[in-house]
Amino acid sequence: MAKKTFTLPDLGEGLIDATVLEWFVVVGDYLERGAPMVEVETTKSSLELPSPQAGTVAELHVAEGDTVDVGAPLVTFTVADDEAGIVGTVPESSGSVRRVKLSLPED
Amino acid sequence: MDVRTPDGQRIAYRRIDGARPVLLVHGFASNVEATWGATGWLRAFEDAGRGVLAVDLRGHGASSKPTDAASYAAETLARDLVAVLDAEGLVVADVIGYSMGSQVARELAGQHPERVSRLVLGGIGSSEPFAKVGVPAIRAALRDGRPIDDPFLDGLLAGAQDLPETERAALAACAEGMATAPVALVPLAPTLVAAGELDPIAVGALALANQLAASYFEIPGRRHGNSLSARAFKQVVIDFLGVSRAGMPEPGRVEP
Repeated sequence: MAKKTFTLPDLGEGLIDATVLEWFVVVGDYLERGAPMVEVETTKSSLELPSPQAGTVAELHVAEGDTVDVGAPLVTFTVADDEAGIVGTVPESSGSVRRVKLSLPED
Repeated sequence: MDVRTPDGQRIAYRRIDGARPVLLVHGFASNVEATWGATGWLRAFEDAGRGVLAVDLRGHGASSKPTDAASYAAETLARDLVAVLDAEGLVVADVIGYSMGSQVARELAGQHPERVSRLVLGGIGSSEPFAKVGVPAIRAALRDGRPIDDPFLDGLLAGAQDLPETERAALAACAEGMATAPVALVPLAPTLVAAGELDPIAVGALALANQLAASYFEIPGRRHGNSLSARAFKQVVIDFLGVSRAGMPEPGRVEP
């Protein structure tokens, strides 16, 4: 098994950070990809971010109520070895689309 | 998807297939994606196996944007929702509104009670916020498009200042139309009122619930702008809608 870390994606509209309102998961939970994972709030709106990955939550890097910068670590998963990268980044959101999907780039 | 209304406007909506579709009505200066998409509601209904019809109100999103206040009477916006239900061949639906969308949803339930099986009114209270602020102040703010000092007004206009001038003109007309046509009907459908504990726009939500003999849920620690993404809110709504209405047939479909 290996670890894979996901960072806070670019939320668009020039936003540089977000505050974690609520984690829907705790360390040790198994999540399907796309399951509700965390709720964050920006100066514009609040958003629900789905899980970018099927796997077991190994670490939550940001406490509820704390602010995280775009590009800073948000969550680490334990995943099967053949799925592991070093650090997962997420595609930048396009245009004014506000729905954010955390996902791995196609390589 | 879209539908043409009796007064010639185009109403855009998004359909997600599933059982017993829920009609979703967003708030002022918002749209389907911002209110229901980014906040996780569409995913939550999908996970619950429910279908969705999520409407862009006139003046918003991909729908027509007339700039005269007369086009934005509450009963007209409610009739737009009827047009969507008709286009989909839905006799009756559960309806969920947030903020101004709740005023429209309430109008729909009052004017067309046979079309609404259950009603959820989110983010509103006992007073009409547009009337409270005053239409001239809203018009002035939307005309200038400048940032707003007043936190109440800023919350009410929710991002409208970033929109192009023509869209702000449509929103000003919408605020005027909705403010001057206050909603006073008591819905027959079982109703849930839900509002953030710290939401100034929804002040008096409990009083509204009592007035409507509705269930009430206070979303702990939330304001107007961050209530929608709360999981607790979604869960309460899905549970509320999951209970079938005693003695009533399940919502069905007819051919359009």
